[in-house]
Amino acid sequence: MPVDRPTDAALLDRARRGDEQAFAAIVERYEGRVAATAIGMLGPGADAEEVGLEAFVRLYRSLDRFRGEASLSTYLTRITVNLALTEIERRKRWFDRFRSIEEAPADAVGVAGKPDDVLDRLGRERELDRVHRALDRLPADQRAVVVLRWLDGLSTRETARILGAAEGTVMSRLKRAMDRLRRELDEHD
Amino acid sequence: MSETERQIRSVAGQMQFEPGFSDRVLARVRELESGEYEPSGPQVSPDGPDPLHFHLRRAFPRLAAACVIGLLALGALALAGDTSLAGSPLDALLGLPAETLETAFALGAM
Repeated sequence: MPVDRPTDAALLDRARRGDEQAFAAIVERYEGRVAATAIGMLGPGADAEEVGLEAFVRLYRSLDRFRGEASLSTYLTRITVNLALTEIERRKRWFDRFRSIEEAPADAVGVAGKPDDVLDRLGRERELDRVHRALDRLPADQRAVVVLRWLDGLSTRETARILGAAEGTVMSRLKRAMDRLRRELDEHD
Repeated sequence: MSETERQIRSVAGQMQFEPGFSDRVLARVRELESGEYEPSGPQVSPDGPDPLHFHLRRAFPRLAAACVIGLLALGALALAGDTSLAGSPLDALLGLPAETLETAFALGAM
């Protein structure tokens, strides 16, 4: 007999009452979404992990205030995107924009699982690296749209709500991003 | 689905944090609870990155305190009825008489 998966609301309620395991379950449930958003926005490495950690810490700190007007997934994605945008601004300010991807060690990419075939693994890492490089060349607003729409799989409406932009703006940013990504990806084929 | 979209989507599942991420989150939460952890960087609300708002909020108490001190100093001077400061420091340096309301009226009557 399958065990019922606790709902977000039930886990949040337990976490509010100090149940650490419940909060850990929330982290495990949304870790993948937060990772795709943070790594998609910032590239692999310590900055993306820091944004991920901070997103969950902020959720923890606002457990009492979180009343579920937005879904937990939307709430966490919004915090992660905003933290990542702030980090991109910081990088711009300090001119260290180029260090993240160029200097990221191969093992920091965080490829999931244990692939049997080394060539297959190398091929996937290469593909991941190509995508990171192409994403890194996009302006932050276009990158956020691509990450939310394609990596997180959100709808145009959800993406617009998270970014505080009109749906038309999201679509035009996605179109411009797609043209640019196509050129970047073709260039490095 | 375009080829570009397919390529981007194909790597989504590979974007993961290093194993043990939830343990690191819980460790940070425990640091927070014990008061050892101070969040770094600008405060960001879930509604948007608005560093200006947070900088203004931090700057406001200092500006307000400086304004209150200035107002108190001016009020004290006014109460003391000290007219020696009616002229500017440049006037005093050049030995010019201080301008007062009376001298200003006298100039108009000339």
